[in-house]
Amino acid sequence: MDSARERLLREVMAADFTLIELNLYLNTHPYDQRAITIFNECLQKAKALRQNYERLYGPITPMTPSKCPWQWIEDPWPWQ
Amino acid sequence: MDMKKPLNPMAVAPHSFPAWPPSPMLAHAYVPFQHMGNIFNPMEGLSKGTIFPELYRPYGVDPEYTVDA
Repeated sequence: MDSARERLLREVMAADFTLIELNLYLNTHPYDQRAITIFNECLQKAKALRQNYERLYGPITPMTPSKCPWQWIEDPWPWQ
Repeated sequence: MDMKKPLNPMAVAPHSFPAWPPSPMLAHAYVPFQHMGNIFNPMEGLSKGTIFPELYRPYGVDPEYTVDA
């Protein structure tokens, strides 16, 4: 995997990790308006990063619209 | 007896809920209530394993919490 691709994938992973952390925090702090605002902003950024990655390099998960031929089986896999 | 109902952290704004109960009871275990401050940027959070600076305590740095360092 080339370094630009790997860097972008790491950014997607980091954005998703931030969302999971905020998700867990909000489960016990559901009235924290500031945390909800940050979550919503981070969600937009994570979606944009994911879309950008998938547009350039293909699907991160199989639950992604595909061109023909079926793109999911193309190398490299997201973890390679 | 008119006991004041304890605050439910789920139902109040986070900063009106104290980190510790005002009258802690013997033989009860408590977890202090987290108040979110600043958070790490996503890349820093991913490498540190938490986005919350107040929860970042890498193993081996504090001898109090290190068994084999």
